[in-house]
Amino acid sequence: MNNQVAHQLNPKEYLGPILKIFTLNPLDSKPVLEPLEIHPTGPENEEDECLLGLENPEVLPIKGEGVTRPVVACDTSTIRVADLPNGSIWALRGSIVCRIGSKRRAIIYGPILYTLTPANIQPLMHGLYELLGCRMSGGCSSMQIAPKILANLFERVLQSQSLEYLEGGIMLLDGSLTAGPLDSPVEAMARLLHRAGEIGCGVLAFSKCTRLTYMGQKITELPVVQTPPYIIKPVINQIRYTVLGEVYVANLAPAYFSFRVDASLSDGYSIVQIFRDLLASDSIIYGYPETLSLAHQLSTFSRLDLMSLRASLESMMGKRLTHEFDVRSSLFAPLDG
Amino acid sequence: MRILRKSRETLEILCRPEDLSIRIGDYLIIREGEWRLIAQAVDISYADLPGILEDLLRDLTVEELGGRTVIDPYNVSSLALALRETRVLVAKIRGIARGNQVETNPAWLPSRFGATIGSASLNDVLEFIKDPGDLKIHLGSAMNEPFHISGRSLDGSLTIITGKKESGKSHIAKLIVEGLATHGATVIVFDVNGEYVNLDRKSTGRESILARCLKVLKPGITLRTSLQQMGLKCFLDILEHVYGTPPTSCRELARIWHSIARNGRGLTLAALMDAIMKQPINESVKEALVSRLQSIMNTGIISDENEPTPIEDYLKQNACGNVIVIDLSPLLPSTRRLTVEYMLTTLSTLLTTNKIRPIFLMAEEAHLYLRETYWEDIVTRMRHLGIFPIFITNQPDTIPELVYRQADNIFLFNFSNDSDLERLSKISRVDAETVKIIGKTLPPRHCLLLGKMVSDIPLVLAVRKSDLTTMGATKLFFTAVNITQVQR
Repeated sequence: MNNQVAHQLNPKEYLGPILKIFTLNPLDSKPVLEPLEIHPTGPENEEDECLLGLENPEVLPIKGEGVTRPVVACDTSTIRVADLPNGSIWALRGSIVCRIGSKRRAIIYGPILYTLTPANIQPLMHGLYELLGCRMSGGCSSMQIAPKILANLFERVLQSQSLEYLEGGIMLLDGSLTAGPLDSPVEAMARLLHRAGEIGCGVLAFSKCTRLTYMGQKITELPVVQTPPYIIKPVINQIRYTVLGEVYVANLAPAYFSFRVDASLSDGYSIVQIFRDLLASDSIIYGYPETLSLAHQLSTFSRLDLMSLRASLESMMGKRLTHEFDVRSSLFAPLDG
Repeated sequence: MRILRKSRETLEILCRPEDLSIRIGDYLIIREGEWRLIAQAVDISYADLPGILEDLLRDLTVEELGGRTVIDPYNVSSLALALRETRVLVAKIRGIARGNQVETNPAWLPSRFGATIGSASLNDVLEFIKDPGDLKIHLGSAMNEPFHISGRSLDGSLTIITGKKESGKSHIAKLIVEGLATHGATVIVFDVNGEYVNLDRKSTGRESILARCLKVLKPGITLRTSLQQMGLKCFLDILEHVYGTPPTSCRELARIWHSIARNGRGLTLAALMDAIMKQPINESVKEALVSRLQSIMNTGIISDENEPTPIEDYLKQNACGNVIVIDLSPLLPSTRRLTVEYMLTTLSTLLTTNKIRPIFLMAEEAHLYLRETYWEDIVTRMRHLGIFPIFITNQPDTIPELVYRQADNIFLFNFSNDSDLERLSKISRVDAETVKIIGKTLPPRHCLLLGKMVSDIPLVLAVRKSDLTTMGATKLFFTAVNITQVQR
């Protein structure tokens, strides 16, 4: 197969508004100082430790033949490329992978470069909220978590675009169906799940790590006397944010990992049915859907990507990037590196 | 292109695939101010980039995909792809010059970022070669430009032409013969395969430039001598080294020889045999001598009836040079060795007594007729006498190592055998890597020039065609004519 990548020089129409958002603050513009405002932020995309009631947990074995359906997975990645006196330059990349039977196809968006300063966090978030058709309440001034929020919002945009490949299929997401934090507007998530339910079987969101516990033990490590594949339906007693969908623990491959899986199903579709169809439609590697792994791999930045991003920046800006001056190393090396 | 690192005389240069219009063996020139450096490309490899394994593994995984579309608004991916294809060109530093002066052992290094790197032309390389500029012998082209060596580089030198069979060794040997003769030199050729006998003809049938100076001597027919002319020492050498005569028998023969000479009788083979038969000596000694003398008589080279060949006359000074071809092709191995023994002794005598000028001796597959002790002679004595050997062989292990170590010039054609290349790499005057890598990749009719003729700056030569009738080509069965006949 010809492994050369086909470059599309004309971005699709929906990418235009995204690019417009991310070029709000050109690199050579003077920094604008705005009054510092405190907004509730909280640990975006993190769950509180919460208590689960696992009295009589329902363990559902996945048995029987499933139906092969289209599987669509979406993921994004972000990386810091360089620091500026007033902020930093970040790169975003997203991927949508679609599998039908043995055929797979992928679309990769990016890298998209943007500057992030205290002054433009709000406008960037605001722009993405608008794109998602949501109203932003609250805000964020933390330069530490802003990139992650922006990446997750960008992922929501791509997730809504990936619906066009979903006809009768299963959508896989990375993370949970928790809505409420800044990076996951309830409105956008609800709209996505509703549309997915209308045209496909539903949405399964796999979390690679979870803080949900039962009596001090992670829900993914609870002992269960059942041969995989199976799912457990825990009862959530207390959780800070809204979960749109139902939380399960899925163990789809013997001897490997269990994952928290949030599921949102279309009408007339059962949880066992969707997992059965997932097992029939996608490969499960170490308990994780392969299509979702691929989406992650295609969106991740490698060291070569970072090198080429920096080279592109130098070329675009006409400036040289230098390494950050390390005070500690200068003072104490080589005895204390 | 950018210099990545230097290790001893090896440079590693980062370059893009489109920069690689040069071939292995070609030269690069690196300039910075008044300094310039020439380096010969010997190898090309992939750059060891950080994260390249991840990238390749990801690419392998993604190969499973039926289609992949990238929407890259800043076109960064193209740069990433270009970076991935970065190559490392390995080059050997051959010379550094500052202004018009070639520097030896300078401490200068070109700047990694400021120096310009580009393909060198032949003239750039020739600035580093001490070429006398006269007595030009046109052998072909180097770096796509006509290239000559000077006859002076072969003069007083030991030259080796080596490579696997059908690589073009004999062809270049004939060009060298033609070139030397054109400048008035005398060349004696020991022709084992009968390839040189028609050098007086062009491939069109017309007379070639060598027609006036070529002389073919067929041992036993047009190359003859007498016992008197040969002399006792040469005759004894022949008996001992060619015919394996035991020393006691040789001593008896010497005694009989002297006796005949003292008595004033004509010294002929017949007289010698007659004397041996009449001598009261051990029967086995008698038998040993008589049988050997009979063999020698049968070769026809030592003749009692015919006049000896006036070799000295053939080697007299001639404005158009002298090419004497000793046709050894139809001879038995022993007769071949006898002829060579005689010729070398005669030439040594003539040179010692200054009756002839120094000569070039072209010997193809010399191991077939040169005895062991001659190798050391060739390296030491004969150069002082004025015999300048040019050896041609496809079996480099048949030439003793001491000969290689003393070789002034080597024409290295393609070798695919690693052990042959290993041997040559240990004893050549250039680094082993160059010999092993370039020696293996040379196409047919191309050779690597090493040694005095190029001032130790290896150069890949594309040997030119010749209009001489060379007769060195392999005789094939499945030719167009034969196939047509069979089909009929």
